Amino acid sequence: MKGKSSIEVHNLSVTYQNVPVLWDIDFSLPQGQIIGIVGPNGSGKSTLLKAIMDLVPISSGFVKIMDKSLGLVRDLVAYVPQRESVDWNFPASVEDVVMMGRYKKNKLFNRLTKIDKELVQEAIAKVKLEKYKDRQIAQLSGGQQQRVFIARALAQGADIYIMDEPFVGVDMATEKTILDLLILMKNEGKTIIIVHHDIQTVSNFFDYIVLLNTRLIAHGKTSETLTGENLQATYGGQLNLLTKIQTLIKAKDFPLREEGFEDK
Amino acid sequence: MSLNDFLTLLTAATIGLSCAILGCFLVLRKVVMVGDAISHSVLPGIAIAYIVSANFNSSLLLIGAAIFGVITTLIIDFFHKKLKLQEDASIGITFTWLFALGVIIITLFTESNTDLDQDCVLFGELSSSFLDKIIMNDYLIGTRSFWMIFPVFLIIVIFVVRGFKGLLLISFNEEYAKSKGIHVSMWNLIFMSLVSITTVMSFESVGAVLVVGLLVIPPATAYILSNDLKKMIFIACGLTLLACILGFYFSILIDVSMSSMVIVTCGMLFFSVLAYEKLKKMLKSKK
Amino acid sequence: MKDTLTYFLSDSVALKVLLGVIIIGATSGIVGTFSFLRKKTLVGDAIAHSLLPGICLGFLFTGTKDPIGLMFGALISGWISVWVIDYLVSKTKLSEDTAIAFVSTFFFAIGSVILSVISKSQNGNQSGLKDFLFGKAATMTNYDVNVFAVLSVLIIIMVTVFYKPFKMLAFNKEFAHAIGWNTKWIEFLLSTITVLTVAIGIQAVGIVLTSALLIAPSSAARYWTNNLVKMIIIAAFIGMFSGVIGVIISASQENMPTGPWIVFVLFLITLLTLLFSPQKGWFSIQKNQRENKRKISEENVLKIFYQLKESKIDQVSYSVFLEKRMMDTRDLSKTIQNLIHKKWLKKLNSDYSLTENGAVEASRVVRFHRLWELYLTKRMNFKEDHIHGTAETIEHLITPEIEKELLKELNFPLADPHNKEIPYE
Ligand SMILES: Nc1ncnc2c1ncn2[C@@H]1O[C@H](COP(=O)(O)OP(=O)(O)O)[C@@H](O)[C@H]1O
Ligand SMILES: [Mg+2]
Repeated sequence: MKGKSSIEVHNLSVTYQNVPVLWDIDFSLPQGQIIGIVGPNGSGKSTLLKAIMDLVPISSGFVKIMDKSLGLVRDLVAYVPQRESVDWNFPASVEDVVMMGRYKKNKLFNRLTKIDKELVQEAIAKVKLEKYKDRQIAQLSGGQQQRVFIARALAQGADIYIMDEPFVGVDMATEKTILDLLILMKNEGKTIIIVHHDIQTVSNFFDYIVLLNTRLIAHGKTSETLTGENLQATYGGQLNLLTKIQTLIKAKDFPLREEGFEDK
Repeated sequence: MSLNDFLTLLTAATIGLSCAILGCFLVLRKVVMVGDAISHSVLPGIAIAYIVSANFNSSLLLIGAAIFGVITTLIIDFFHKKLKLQEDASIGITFTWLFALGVIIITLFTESNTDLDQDCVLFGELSSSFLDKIIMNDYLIGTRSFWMIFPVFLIIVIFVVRGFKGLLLISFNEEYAKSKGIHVSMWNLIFMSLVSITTVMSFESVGAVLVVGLLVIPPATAYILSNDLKKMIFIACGLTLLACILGFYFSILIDVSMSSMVIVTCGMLFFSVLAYEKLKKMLKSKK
Repeated sequence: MKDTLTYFLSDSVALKVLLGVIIIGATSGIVGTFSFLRKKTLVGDAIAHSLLPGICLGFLFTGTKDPIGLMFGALISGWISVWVIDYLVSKTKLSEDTAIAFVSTFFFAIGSVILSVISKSQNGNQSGLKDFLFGKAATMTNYDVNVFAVLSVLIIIMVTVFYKPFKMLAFNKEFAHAIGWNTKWIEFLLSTITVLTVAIGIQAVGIVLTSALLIAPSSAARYWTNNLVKMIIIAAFIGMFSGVIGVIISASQENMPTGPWIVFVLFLITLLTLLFSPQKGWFSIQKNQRENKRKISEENVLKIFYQLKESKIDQVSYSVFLEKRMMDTRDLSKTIQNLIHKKWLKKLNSDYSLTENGAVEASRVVRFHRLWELYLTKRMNFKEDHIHGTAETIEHLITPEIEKELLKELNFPLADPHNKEIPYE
């Protein structure tokens, strides 16, 4: 399996109300590694994940997962959304939420099996939340809530894990738990893709990084890619001209890709 | 309790339970105002159904009327997503217009049809629902209002029990549900259709405004009280039953309309619960 | 129609009704603008429902239908409802939509209970109270209209005096708070004004439909202007206009309700605005997109002629052209017609070639394309085999101003990343 790519992104562009937030992104990611998608706030990292998971409309390009389209391998990919994306007051316990990981599109009307329940307990144990499994999720700390989300992904038993900012607002203990867990998962051959915006910790966390700021800056092994020049390009602010073009596109309502033309 | 009292209560409870179950998901998904809009927007459909069928027994026509509820969600979406009007305004414009249309239709045909008047539109008449009994082979098998809502109630129960996982997923986090390949917009359509059918079927008994009270108040109370979705649904149902019984007796006591009194009771239960929770917190922090 | 007009102008009662809806429409338009900008129009709906108990109690205490007493009761229950919504949203885990629906139905139910108590105890005298449910525009009295006029003048004065704080609240509440304004107070003032407006609004269109008076005029006005003062004025006019038309329609036939017709007209105006307004309307957006497409097609064809010229082919036939570049044939022949019409292409026998002006245009497009490709590789780390895509679009978009900047930033380059010459005039 080594050498094959886990996720390939081809010429991907995404616009929100005609403002391009991802421009012609093109890369492929290795398997079995911890991969960071790194960039400042608002650089389109979450949007990239959503585009990979087919949650936002794509204006051009396509994505392949294990050489297939998402629909065919959906159960192999676990998505961990940003913690703020849900209302934690929701009346559900830790166990309830982790159980959602076992829900499958085609088996939504079936009962969960004993195996399902065991996998859920296992996942809860892996993130060290056994003591809290009957607690309502609002009564957890930020770090614990994050661990619930990760346990839900673990319960799904996927090969590829796509996590949006799992280290934001978590305590040191959680950070350590998550990191240990990630390494364990990596050793089992899983691929883990993590959106991250804090450059301080990048080299500790990731084997491989994708530097992103609306456009793709660089991608590759962390040691080779994390150069001052690349960081300057990523975090040094938007390019003046690019911003102007973005505004123009919005103002004139231009399609990002034209239809009907093809070069011969 | 007389037979008529029992029949009235039975109808009220079935309507209330249907609303309570659906309402829990409306509250959790934060789309209560869409439910509110639907309950007002079905008026033109109801008006047309009443006018077309000379005797008002055709429940099929009323299910047709429920289409207006689904159309409401489509119009709201059209204003919000296609015409880029902000969401609150899209909701407000859509339901006021459809409601106005309904009132216009009703007043246009009011001479030929006295059963549907403006008062009934707003309040409904739960306490007179027992007047319309259905008797078969000399056995009383219930009232028409009851038999209109009861099948809907059954469908709701089956839908929620069988589709519980799907409803849980889309209520907790639509995006996560989509990432699992779940057809969120289809679930949403089915759900909103049920809301729409429920409001149509309970229209005569509780009216367009008060049905929203049944949809929102017991679920909101249960939401404050519970940490678990299943419990929340059961508590909402329990509160609804309690409010129906208490409201029924209050309404007899001071001789006022029962449907309004049930909602007032629901609201009083809500504030009692809120006060109780506050008190509990205060006692806890003192310790 | 003419009859109706003369009727209105000759009849003083009818004139009063018109005056009444004009006042109500204008006030709701003005105040609704702030509700709209704060995205709180549905709170207006809750307020409208919540006025019922206040009005009924006002009636119980004063024993008359004197609008001042009823207004006072309405004001108090309106205040309470706004406060309860605020409390539920900030102090419990209920979300805003739940709080709004809760308050509106609960208050409405209380109101209807009181209403049925009144109707049992005071035989028939209360008939006027029910008018609040659906509005009573057609039966407004002189006295009613006078009270509305005074209130509406009061409201307009308040809006004028507190224009700045209200504007601040609508656009940037956090900022207002941060620079030390007492936002609680401003909000209270605005709520009071909203409650008063709704209270006179329900007399025209009734409790259920009053929110339309707040929402529709401002929604439509938003699509005509970006300026707050203009928006307020437009909203006021739409409110008045719909009121007048609604009254006329309902007067033209017997037994026609006024309120629903006013709302119907409001809806139509809003819908038409959203579809047809010149800048943000749906059709103008569609038209703009079509024009963009046309421009893109034209410039692409020009570009191909330029590239052919580069390889020393000055004239091509239609079929040869199609071989060079795949294009929808209908689209292509239309585009070529357009270009001939603009005198950028000419036709000799069955061959087409660029005119002098066309050549200038074409070199502009090619220049932009190559400049942008260069910019992508130099500044945006694009690999050479991936730049063509966006450049295809951007070339049609670059303005002379951006061109200047591109040239400066790239230091007047001579060749693009594929080593093709960048043409200058
Ligand atoms: N639903 C949306 N509608 C409009 N703009 C959005 C939406 N979601 C995100 N954006 C904008 O897209 C850009 C990228 O957002 P995001 O992908 O969340 O960035 P990141 O995760 O890197 O912080 C931001 O400028 C953000 O404001
Ligand atoms: Mg993000």
